[in-house]
Amino acid sequence: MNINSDNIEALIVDYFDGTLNEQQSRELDRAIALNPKFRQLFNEYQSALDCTVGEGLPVAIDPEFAEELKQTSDFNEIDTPYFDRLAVLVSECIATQAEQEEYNQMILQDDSKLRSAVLYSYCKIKPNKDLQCPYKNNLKRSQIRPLRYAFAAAAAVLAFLLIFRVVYFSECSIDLARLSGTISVNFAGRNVQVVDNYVFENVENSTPKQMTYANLPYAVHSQSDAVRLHDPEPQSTISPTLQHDDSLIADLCIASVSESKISYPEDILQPITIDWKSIEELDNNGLAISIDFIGEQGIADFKEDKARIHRRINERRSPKICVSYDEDGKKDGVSLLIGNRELKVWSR
Amino acid sequence: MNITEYNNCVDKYSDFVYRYLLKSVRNSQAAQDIVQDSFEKLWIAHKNLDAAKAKSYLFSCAHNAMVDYVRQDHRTSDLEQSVNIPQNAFNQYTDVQDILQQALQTMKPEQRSVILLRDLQGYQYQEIAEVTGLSLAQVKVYIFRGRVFLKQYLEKTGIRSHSDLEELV
Repeated sequence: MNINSDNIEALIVDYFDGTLNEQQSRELDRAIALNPKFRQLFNEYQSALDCTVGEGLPVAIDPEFAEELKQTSDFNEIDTPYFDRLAVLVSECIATQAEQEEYNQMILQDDSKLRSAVLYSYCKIKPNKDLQCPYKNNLKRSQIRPLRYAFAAAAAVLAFLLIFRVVYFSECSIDLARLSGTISVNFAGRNVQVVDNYVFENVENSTPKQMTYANLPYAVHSQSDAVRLHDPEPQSTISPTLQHDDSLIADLCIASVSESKISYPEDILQPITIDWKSIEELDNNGLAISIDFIGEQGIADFKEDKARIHRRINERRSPKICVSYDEDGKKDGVSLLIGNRELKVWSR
Repeated sequence: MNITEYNNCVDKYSDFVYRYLLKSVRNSQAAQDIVQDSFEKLWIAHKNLDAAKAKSYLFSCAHNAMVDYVRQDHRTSDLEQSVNIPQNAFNQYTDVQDILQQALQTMKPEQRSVILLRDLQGYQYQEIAEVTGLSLAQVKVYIFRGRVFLKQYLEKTGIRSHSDLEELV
């Protein structure tokens, strides 16, 4: 056993408690004999024990405390004058009929007991009902809704807005501000904005900014609408004239876009004079020039069944542009795919 | 106990708890703090607590916190101190209740608690025992000694007769 200054005190206590075994006691004796510091500690502890054990014990505990330790089960067992006991029983309203009568007799016979009885009757504390807890409303709790409800609510609102937007603004999805690919072309001194980047893919030298109105028939748009005209000088009037390319059957139709529908004029082949004032009247929805490569047959079909065009628009089947290249890697042709139909829109 | 029942407890018992504490600790701020702590404990336990037991639980928390406060604050007064009451001191008071309030402050905390719970809340002895954690016998002893003490205190203030009391009442 290793005895050092850290454990010597504990060992001394155990020694006097008699909890050390024989070997430990012997080792402790040896350590005390060898180490004067340990011996001093041992002697101090021994002398302290001598003071407290035996005659050093407290003579008696506080009588009142001793009284408290007694386990009484009834007032009658409390060691106190009988009258006081009765008085408390009466004031506590737990006296029996006999006790009550005896109490009454006692106070009638003795004035001093009567005085005591009066005092006892006033010994009850009355609550001060004017005294109210301040700020007690702060102690109340409100229902804490889990965060997932907030997320669910936000998701529901978001879903509602999305659906609402799809239902009510699906036809107004042409939002120039939204379309980063919008290309501005200069046309007769006026700005023409064309929606969709690939619209001019089929045009040779098709740097969009160099486009002229004459190229417009070559411009292909997706069914999500094509060209928006924005006139910086809305008071003026412009009469666009269509130019037909021999190799391409293309036509220009004018579609006015409103919030709920897209309508087309009856005769899509007629060049239409655009009245810029009327464009202004169309407000934000503007006037969309929709150029649709539908071919001769397509035109005939369209005349027969305009609903098909509408359906196609609604289905948003965007035409695809296919560019072909020659062996030198130069562009030699552009085709337009609409559905399963391929239209050669340009070739070298 | 649900949140509505908890809030009902606040409405019903906060004033009682506050009065009980204020009379025990004689410090409005401390009483408010203990009320707050007690309701905090009630809130923590509210899910596992029956509403019928809420009052008892609340007063237990308040009582324990009050005892801790009194111990920490050393505000207990010895019974002997209260003996030095000048004769006819009752003339300084306007109400018997004022004298009793003064007497309460000189009582031992355990006695004061059981007397307050008995008089202010109208608790039965068994309920007081549950709240204070004392045995039923101890509660009875404290009630008894408390009553005798209050009566003696009234005597010491100089109230000897019914007429003295009438002067106050």
